[in-house]
Amino acid sequence: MKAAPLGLFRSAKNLDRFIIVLSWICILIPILALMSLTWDMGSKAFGAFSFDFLWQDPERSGREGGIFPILVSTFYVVMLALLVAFPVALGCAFYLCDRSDSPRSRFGFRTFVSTALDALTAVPSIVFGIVGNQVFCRYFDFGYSLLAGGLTLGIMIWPYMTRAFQETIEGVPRDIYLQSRSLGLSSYTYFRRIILSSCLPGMLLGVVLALSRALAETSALLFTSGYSDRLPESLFDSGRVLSIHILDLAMNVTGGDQNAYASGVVLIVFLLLINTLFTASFRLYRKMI
Amino acid sequence: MYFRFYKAVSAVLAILVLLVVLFLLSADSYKVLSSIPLSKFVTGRWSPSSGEYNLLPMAVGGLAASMGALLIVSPLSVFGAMALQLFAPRSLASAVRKIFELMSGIPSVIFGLWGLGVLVPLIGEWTPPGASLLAAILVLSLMVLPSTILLVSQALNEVPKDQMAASFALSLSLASQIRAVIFPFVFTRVVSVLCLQFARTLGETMAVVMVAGNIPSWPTSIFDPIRTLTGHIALEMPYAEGLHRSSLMLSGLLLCLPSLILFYLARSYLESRRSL
Repeated sequence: MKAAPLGLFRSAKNLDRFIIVLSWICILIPILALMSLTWDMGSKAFGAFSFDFLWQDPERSGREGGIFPILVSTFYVVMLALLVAFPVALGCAFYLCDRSDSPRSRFGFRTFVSTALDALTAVPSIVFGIVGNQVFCRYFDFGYSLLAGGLTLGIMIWPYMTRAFQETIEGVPRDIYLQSRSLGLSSYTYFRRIILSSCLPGMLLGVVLALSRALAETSALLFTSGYSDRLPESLFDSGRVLSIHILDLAMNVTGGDQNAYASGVVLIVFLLLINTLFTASFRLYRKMI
Repeated sequence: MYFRFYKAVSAVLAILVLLVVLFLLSADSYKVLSSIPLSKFVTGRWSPSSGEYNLLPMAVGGLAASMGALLIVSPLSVFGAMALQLFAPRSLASAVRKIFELMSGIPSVIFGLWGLGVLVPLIGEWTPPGASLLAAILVLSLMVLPSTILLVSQALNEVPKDQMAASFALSLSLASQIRAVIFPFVFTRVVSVLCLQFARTLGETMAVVMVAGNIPSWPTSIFDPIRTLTGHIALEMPYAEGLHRSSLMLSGLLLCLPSLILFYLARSYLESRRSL
């Protein structure tokens, strides 16, 4: 009988114990850090938050007052981004999922498109920011505006949306496609009548995912939608989104900490609400069918 | 007919957007590279007004922060996912998973805010000034940890159940079970997950800008303030003109290339192993 050389641990059982304890410690560290984050946010935002905070204009560059114009700008930018991204993402997903033409070849055009979409998801968001600034603010001369911000953000979330759409569409059984072909349906009717109606919940989920990504985005909007904290009057006005407001209050405005934390809590609550509401209704819908 | 047109146009747009992004970045980079000698980008200091464009400290700073985060995240995520998947009771594991799912959607600004309010003062008490490479590393790690743990535990979940059962039946010790059954199966997945998260930390801007101190100089220890390439762009873009602006585009390109390469490495590695 010769024991395996375990050195420090003497027996296999000790080594196993060590691994288990180590694992528990490793899962505890991020949980504790996340708890510290939640506690820090909650306790510091507690004093500043009230419902007036949502309806008032910011005063003294955000140290006092509320965030109403910032919420409005955020709404415009995110909605614009969804409006830009949705039709293109839908078209792209349809193109990538089209089963009617020849089988996929390794180097076909479809692979190119798919690769380009993957590459776009890998591009850091600040790069979208500077390119958006160059294209929309300079070449098209929109200046710092909600329009430029919405377009840039739309291009950024488009690949994610396409992937989400593609996933749901690929979940439709192949039989259904074959049946629709044998009935002589055109590819348009197939997508319009069958795919759109059967994939609607999944697609909505994709839109929600893109929406939460858009809400969380800061760096792509830094040089496109700008800093102005006044209420925007048209799409060509500059407007500050929520995440940039937080950044500005925390970094550049001394004494703006409390309102930064309060805005942070508003942002998190929005994200959580959107996510839980949609996933809950999604589950409900699944159950009803 | 119109429908085909619509599909084709949106598909072509995907390629077009990527080309436009890369073209704009490289056009500006070419402008600045052709008018300033290459040595100016790797020596001297950063001072565009006097024609000095040393980008090297920023590139190294960003890499150091991401590497540090990777060093922290990889053991924590692998062992944490093991706790979640193998040791924790099912109800506890699913609760923790829920928490991580919620946390992985939290915007990076919030992590930056936490770093600024909690981490930086804490590190500052220990070794001033506080805003440092270490703070950047810790904030980045916390930012990617929830999603990394979830992805790794997904990989662990796909280890064949019958092989696990067989190894239990042979009463293998946990260590040899991990080495002989789990490790060979999940290794490629874990590597590609870590690659992607590394690319994500490399491209992260806001969380890092808020805690890293942003001084464009060489870091000598982890308590020194650093500036990353992303933070560099974010801080200088609002007032940059001419060659200064072009040099920021060059940093954008420098940022894009490793992310793209990492992304493709992760994917092709995964695919090549899957087909075996």
